[in-house]
Amino acid sequence: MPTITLNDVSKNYKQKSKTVEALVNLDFTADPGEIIGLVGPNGAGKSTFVKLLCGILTPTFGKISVLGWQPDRNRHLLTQNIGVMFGNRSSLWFNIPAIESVYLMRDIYQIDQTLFKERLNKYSHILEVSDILQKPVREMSLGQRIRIELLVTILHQPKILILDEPTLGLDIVSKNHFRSILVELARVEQTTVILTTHDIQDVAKICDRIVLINHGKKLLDSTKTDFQAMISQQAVIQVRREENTSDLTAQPFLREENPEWYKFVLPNASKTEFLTQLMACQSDLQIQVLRPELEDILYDFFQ
Amino acid sequence: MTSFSNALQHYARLFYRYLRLSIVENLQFPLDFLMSFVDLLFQTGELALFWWSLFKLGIIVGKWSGDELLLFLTISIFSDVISRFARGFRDLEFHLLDGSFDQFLVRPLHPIMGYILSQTNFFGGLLSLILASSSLIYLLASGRVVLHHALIGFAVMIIGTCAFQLLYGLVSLLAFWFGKIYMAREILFSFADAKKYPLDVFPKTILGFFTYVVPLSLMITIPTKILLGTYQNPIRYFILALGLFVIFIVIFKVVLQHALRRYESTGS
Repeated sequence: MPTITLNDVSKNYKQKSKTVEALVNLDFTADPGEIIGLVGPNGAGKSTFVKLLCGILTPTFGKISVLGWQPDRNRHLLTQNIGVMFGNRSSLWFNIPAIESVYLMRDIYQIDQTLFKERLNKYSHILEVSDILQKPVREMSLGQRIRIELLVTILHQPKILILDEPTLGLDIVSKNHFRSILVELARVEQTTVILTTHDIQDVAKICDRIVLINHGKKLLDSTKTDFQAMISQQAVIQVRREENTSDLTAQPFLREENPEWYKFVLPNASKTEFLTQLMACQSDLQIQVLRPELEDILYDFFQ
Repeated sequence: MTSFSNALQHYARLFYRYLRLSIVENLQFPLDFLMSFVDLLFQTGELALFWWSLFKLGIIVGKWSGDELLLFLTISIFSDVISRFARGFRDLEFHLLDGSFDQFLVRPLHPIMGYILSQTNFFGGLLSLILASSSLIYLLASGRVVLHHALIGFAVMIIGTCAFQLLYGLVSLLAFWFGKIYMAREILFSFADAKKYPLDVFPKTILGFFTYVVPLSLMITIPTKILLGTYQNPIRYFILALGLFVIFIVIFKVVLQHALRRYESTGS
C-alpha cells in the first residue's frame, strides 16, 4: 500500500494580479522503503511539492494522502510520523551543546525513553557523532552539523523522511556517509525517503526512482532499471581540443564545450554515423566514447 | 480528557526543556549572563526611581500610597513575565517572510505554541519572576495584601495578560496576509505603554475602553486593586477577564486557521 498518494494536485500562488502555477496536475505515489530522488532546476516546483507533503502548504486543487492523512488537515498526526529536514535551515540551537537539541526533539516528539536511548546510541554511532554531541553547534563543521541534523530528524523513527537538499555544501566523504544512512533507513526500517537534490550523484547512487519536475509538471517518473535502459540507449562522445582541432560547434548533438574538449550526447543508434561525420571533418581527432552519466540524460529535461 | 491531560503534560515538559535550553545558552557567555542581572536591576531600578521621584515631588498618583505602588510594580513584573511568551509575535512577520516558520509546521506541536516557546527568553523571565516574588513576600509580610483576594487577583492578572497578548497575537497574524505589519503592531504597543501607570487615573470612558475592549487594566491595575482589597466583589473582574480571554482565543483560533492556509513558505 502506498505511503504517499497525490491525485491531480495543483498549487497556485497569487502574485499581485497574476496567478503563478507552482505545480500542475501532479500524480505521484511512493511505497514503503522506496528512495525517491526529486530533481529539477531551480524554481521547478520541488520545494512546493515537499511542502505539500508535509502540510506546510495547502493544495489549490487535487487530493494528497500521506500515511492515510490529508497533510494540511491532519498536520499534528502526520508530523508525529514523518521526519523533515531542510538543508538550508537548522533545527539545532547554535550556541549550546548539540545534545540539548537532541533532548528537545525527544520531548517534542514524545519519544519513549527506551526507544530514544536505543536509537540515539545506534545512529550517533553510525553517523559518527557520539564524540561531538557535547560540543556547541557553532564549533562544528558543516558536515558534523548536517549529520546531527539527520540524527534529530530520524530519532522518532519516522515512516517517511523528507529531505530538501540535505547534502548542500557537504564534501564527498560526508555525502557518501549521509547516503549510506538513507539506504540503511529505507532497507532496514522500510522508511520512504523523498530527497530533493541538485546533486545528480545523490540520485544515481541511492535512489530507486527518479522524478523530474520542471515548470511545475512531472516530466519523468522512472525506476532505476528503466533509467539504466535509457542510459544504455545514449552515447557520449568527447573530442579533445588541440591547437589544430577544427571548430566543431556547428556539429549536431553538441552538449558542452570548454578549452579542453567538446562533449556530444547522442542516441546510440546514431553513434557510428556521427563518428564517421567527425572523422570526415578532421581525420586526426582524439575521440573518446564514454558511458553516459545520469546528468547527461536529465539535461534535456532541464531545458 | 486523557488527551487534554497528555497535551498538558507534553507542554509542561517542553516548558521545562526550553527553560533549561535558555539557561544553558545564557551560561555559555559569562559576561552576557552577568549583564542579564544588571539589566534587570537597571530596568526595575529605573521604574522604582520614577515612582519614588513622584512621591518626593509630592505628586500624588490617584489615591495610591508607596506600598500600594510597590504592589503595582510587583504585579507589573509578574504580568511582564507572562507577556514574555508573546514577544515572539514581534518577529513572526520575519519568520513568515523568510519561510523559517516552516519548522514549526513540521513538528507535532501547535505551530504557534511551538513558535512562541522557541522564541521566549525563559532565563530573563526566571530572573524577573525571582525579583517579583521577593517583592511580593515583603508585601505579604507587611500585611498590604488581602490574602483571601490573592488567588482571584493573580488569576485576573494571568488571564487578563493572556487576553491582551492574544490581541497582540491577532494583530501579528495579519502578517500572513500583509507581510510586514510593523506599524499596525506599533499602534497597539502605544496603547500597551499605558499599562505601566495606574489606569484609574484616567476618566471613566478611557478606563472602560482599557478594560472592556483593550484589556490593559486587567493586566496590572485591577489585579493590584483586588489584592489591596479595594473591590467588594472581585469575581466580576475574573469573569470579565475569562470572558475576554475566551472570545480572543476563539477569534485567534479561527483567524489562525485561515492564516495557515494562506502561508506561502517563501524564501526557499
